[in-house]
Amino acid sequence: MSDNSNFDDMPLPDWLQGGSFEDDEKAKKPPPKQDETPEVLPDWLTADAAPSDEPLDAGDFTSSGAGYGEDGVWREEEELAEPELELPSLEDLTGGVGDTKAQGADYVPDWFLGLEEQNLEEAPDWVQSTSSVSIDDLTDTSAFEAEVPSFESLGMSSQPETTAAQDEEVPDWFASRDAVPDLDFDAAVEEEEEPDWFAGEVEAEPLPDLSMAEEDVLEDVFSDLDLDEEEDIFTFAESDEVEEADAFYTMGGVEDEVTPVEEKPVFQAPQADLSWLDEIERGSSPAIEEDVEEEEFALPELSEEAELAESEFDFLGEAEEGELDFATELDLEDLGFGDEAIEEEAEDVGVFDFGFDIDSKEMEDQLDTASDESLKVERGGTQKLIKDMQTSSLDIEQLLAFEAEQEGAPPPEERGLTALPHTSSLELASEDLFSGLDEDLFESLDPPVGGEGPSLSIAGEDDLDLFGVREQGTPEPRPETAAPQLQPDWIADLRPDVPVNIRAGNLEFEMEQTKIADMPEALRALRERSAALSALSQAEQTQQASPASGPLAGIVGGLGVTEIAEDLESDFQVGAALRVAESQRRQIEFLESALSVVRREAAARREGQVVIPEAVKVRTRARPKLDRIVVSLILLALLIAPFITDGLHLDAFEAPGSDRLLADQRAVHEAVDTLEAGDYVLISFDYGPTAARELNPLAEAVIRDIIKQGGIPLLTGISPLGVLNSRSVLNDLAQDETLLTALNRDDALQPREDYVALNYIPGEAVGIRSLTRSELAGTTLFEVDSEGEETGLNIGELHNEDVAFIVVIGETLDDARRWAEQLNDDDIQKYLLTTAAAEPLIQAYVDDDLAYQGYLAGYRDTYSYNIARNPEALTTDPDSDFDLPNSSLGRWYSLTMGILAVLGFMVLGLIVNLVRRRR
Amino acid sequence: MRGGLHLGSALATALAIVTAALVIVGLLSAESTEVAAGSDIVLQIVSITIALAVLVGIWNLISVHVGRLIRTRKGWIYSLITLLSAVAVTAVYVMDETASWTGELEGEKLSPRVFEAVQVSIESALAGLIVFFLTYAIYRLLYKRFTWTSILFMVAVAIVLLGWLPLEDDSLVDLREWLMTVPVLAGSRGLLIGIGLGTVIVGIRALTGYDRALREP
Repeated sequence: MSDNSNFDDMPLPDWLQGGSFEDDEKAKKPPPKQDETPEVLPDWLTADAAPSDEPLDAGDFTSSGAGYGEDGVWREEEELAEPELELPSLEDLTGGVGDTKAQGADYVPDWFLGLEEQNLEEAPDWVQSTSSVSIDDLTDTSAFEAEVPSFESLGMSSQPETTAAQDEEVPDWFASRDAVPDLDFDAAVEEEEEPDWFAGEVEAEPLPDLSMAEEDVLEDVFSDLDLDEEEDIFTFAESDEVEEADAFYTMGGVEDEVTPVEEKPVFQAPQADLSWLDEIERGSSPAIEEDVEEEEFALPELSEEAELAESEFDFLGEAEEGELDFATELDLEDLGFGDEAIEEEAEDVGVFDFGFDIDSKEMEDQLDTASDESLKVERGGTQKLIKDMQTSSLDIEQLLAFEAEQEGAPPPEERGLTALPHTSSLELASEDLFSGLDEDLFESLDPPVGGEGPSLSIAGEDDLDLFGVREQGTPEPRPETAAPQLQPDWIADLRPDVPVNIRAGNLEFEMEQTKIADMPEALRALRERSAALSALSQAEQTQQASPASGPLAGIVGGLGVTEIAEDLESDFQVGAALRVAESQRRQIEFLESALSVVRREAAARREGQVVIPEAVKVRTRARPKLDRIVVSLILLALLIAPFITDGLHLDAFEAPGSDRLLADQRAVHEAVDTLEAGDYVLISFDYGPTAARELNPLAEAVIRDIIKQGGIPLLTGISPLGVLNSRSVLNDLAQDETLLTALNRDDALQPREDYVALNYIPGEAVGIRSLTRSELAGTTLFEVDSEGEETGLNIGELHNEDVAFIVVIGETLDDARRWAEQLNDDDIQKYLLTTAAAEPLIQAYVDDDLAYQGYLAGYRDTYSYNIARNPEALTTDPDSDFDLPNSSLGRWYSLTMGILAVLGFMVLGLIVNLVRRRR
Repeated sequence: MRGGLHLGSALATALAIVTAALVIVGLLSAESTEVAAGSDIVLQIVSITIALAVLVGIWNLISVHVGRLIRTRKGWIYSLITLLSAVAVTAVYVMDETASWTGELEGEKLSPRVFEAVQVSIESALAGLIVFFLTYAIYRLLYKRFTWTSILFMVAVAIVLLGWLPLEDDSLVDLREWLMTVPVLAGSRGLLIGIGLGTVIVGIRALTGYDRALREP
């Protein structure tokens, strides 16, 4: 066998990129079984040609030496181009089609990358020339859609195993035929008459020992002939083709000096009619075409020094792979079958001729002119054999006997060998060639090496065993054959113009393919890179098990996509070799953390777990600010301390007396002083609970004064809350002992007598305006109190005569503005009680005859008013076991401390700011 | 919908224009005139409607929280507290009005006490926190920023606060009085004038039918 290791160094054409030769893998393949019928492939596919080390041009498949050129013209060695045979390996071409061995998960055949996108117009000429049909027809998937026939249906006991050499050379489109049907060996016989298939069938086989006798040379010559070839050649010779034996012999390398042959060998490969493929699939005999492209069978050129010796053995090594291919491609009629003239001539020659006429003189000359001096030929025996051959009286049995005689080996019968039956060419032409063979013959073809099963090769070097060469010499280990495999469906989709059906689980869709020429440069670069990765990792992939599931289940020999991805995922370290900024590093860490969450969830889903997204609770705990705490604590201490101790009752901030009331404040108690007994004073509580602690004491002070003056407060409000506030104030006053003492009363104040708690005024501004314009509104408000009792008030439209004045208690500017603007009676005096915060804003409504005649604001005015009008109220303190300061004074000084604290913090902040600026 | 005229919107706009015109004419008319009487009727209707709105609001509050409590949505516990509080306050008010309290509480009115003890205390406490925030804010203001405006702010605050205190030196009191009657009053009046102008514009929009509430159904 030739060493195909050189193929590893060969640059493959683009359209075949991605493949690699795997001798190691082939060596690991188990040997074929004896009971298996060897797979028969076309010779040019099974040729175990040894390529040269030079880069090969796939489009140039012309043979070395003499042969057919691309134009189909026979040319001599000098005329032909450098033989750069490039025979892709079977692995490349088939991608392990049908190979069920494990190749790793998610495997994608390397040759698959882009091959389906190739334009066959870019294919080498030898590919295009194999068919006379168009490229589209060539790539018609309909030819591939037929179901793969079983080997039983093909007449085979089991699926044949292919040799590594065969695997290497079977193109992918041929790999769709994983089974070889019954072949018409009659056609093979005829086509093997064509000597041109020997042209260039040279292998880089180690040179045998040529120092042998002449008969040894002859033996070697015939030993390289396959038994079937012998049948073909010797049996179906045509008279007009005998001369071609010269060319055949010359091409075989017997002579280094080639004699130009005018008449070209008749035998040619069939013109590219791929119907024979279908015929193979159907198990019928293929049609034989006349036009044969010799490029298909062209083989590389050997050096002249080794040409002779190697060709003696190597060129026949091609026969084992080519003979049956020929048989499938040749038409019997093309070879003369059916031609009466030829048949008659055959009958004249003998029932079993060699198929061609050999001129003994020329043969002898050829042998004599052999360049290798070690080639010793017993010319006598050779001449005798040749003469016998010329007379066509020598049959195979005679040949075997002659071989046995020369070797001293037992006759073929004793060795269990049975030659072809002695029959006529017509008989052989009409029936299967193998039908006459004994099964033991194939067993005998099995080399002893390894002792495991026969070789799949029918002819070639194994034939040497037939002649005893292998038995005597050191057996050469045979590569293990590939296990029978079933091709995947996607092989049928390898047409660039046909959409590919992609199936993943229950999903299926069509995807338009892109030609490699139309692919972006980046994708092409990726494809080449993938091919390189595949070549590097293919040895490892072969050891891996094929995925048990998924779209690539059972497919081996592809890229380890998953492994690469996993490596990237696991080994990827951000920042290991990169310099990133701190912000970028944080972003990367953030993304990694996010990806880790996604990966965990994905892993959990794969394991069938229910993914419950974690509730991310972002606790934003505010960092405590020390200065804020200090400020708050100091302020709190200053506000509380005056209620506990009188140490902070500073004389500088003595509580204001009645003399501290300004004119606006004095206007209030001056108005109260004008009250007479039984005068009604309308007091509107327009503030809410938030201002109650500030305004309730103020309201209580004014109401207390009004009650003491004999007036009757009419408590109302523009909101329900205001009414509730009024009730709260009146409830306290009604039972206040100091007030009752001042009134010289023992019982509490009585509603509807001492005061009237009215309902609230609905409609806010509208309701206030309605008081002075609508008798109904006034009647509704004043007729009944909040308890639903009649008040006895005879007030319709609110006028100056009905009430002495109106006291508005509000906390905002709107409260003050509402009464000032909507009460449409200029004669009714109004006074405002408000908060200290609203005091600056209500200035616009004070000192105005149309608005408020006076106001009181905040606790300062409350304290001053009580000092001036209700001194008894300030002396009342609740009973306590502790010696606490007066609560009214404590409240005043608390406010004073608060103000001072605010001013102090302002100054402190200013000082700190100045210090910071200086630093 | 743009460019379209809805019958409801047209009717609402027409009604608003007529009512507004009636009210404004009635307010400008003498009280004894029929127009003024008609205007007063309209104002009474408004007052009653606003009063009823309180009942509607109470009903809506109860229905919303009852729904949340039944569906046990998030925060249902607060809805429960709200409903219980409403029921309790209503019950207390009913007891007060019906004089149903017995024993030591006989004749007492608990509604004002509950209001004073709960609502006034809570809201007053929340309002009291403002002084802490304002104090710290002014401290941070001067701690972080020291500009002419901040100086002006600090001086104004100091004058107003110190002027509020009954110091023996009346200079600060007079200065504070001047601040209250001149610059502060000017600002307050300007604010009130702006409010008045806005109110007039709203009235005009209502009278001319340009108010969005009237144009959109």
